[in-house]
Amino acid sequence: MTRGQAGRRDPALACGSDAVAWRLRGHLYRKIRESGVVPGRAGLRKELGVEAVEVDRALRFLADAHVLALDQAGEVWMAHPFSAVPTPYRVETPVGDYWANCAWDAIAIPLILGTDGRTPTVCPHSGVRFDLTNVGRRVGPEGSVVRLPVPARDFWDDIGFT
Amino acid sequence: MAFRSEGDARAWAIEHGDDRGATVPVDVLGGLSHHWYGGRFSDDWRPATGAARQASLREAGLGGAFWELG
Repeated sequence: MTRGQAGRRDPALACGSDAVAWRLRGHLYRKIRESGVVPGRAGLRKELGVEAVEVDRALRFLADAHVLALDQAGEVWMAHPFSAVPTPYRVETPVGDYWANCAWDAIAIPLILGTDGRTPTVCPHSGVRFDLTNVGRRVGPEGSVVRLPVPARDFWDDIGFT
Repeated sequence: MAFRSEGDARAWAIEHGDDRGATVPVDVLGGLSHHWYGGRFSDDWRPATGAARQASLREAGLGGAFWELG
């Protein structure tokens, strides 16, 4: 097991190779891009033509590698920057609408899709409604900020809170 | 959470006793996102190492203790 500087395992170095898991991951992201929906385990099983136990094992592998986050039932909850469940961040783009996990992810989704986008939101302090905007590679509105609740080293300690 | 201004974020943090978080301008996060999330639709994508992610943060201008991945 490879460990980081502070004794933490580096998931990227520890994840190794797993053909089914990486095939599942690629398929999952393509489905999200096409449909805006994160597929469930049953759909993944049918579409990939593999046994349920193999899907579950692959998902666990990807979760351990911090590629995905699973809910308590073992379904995909987060495929960053996409969310499988509704959140306060609904990203609207010309190629489809998507749920983002957080404000940062709302900014990231149009960028990785290579499209423009807008995400309606409300400033938690002033109550002012405004849109996070992506126009080309420019993100706005100018002067707006995102607050991250925990230091970077703790992002995955409670990924739902982060 | 997204705030309309740095001042709004600062006021909110004081009101809520949040001294753990940090605020980042949206354009900086946009620049970081290209590296942090880029390539996810490629079959060949694999997670970046901690060192590579730390380098992405540094290139985006995000340094200091808050941004140390450890």
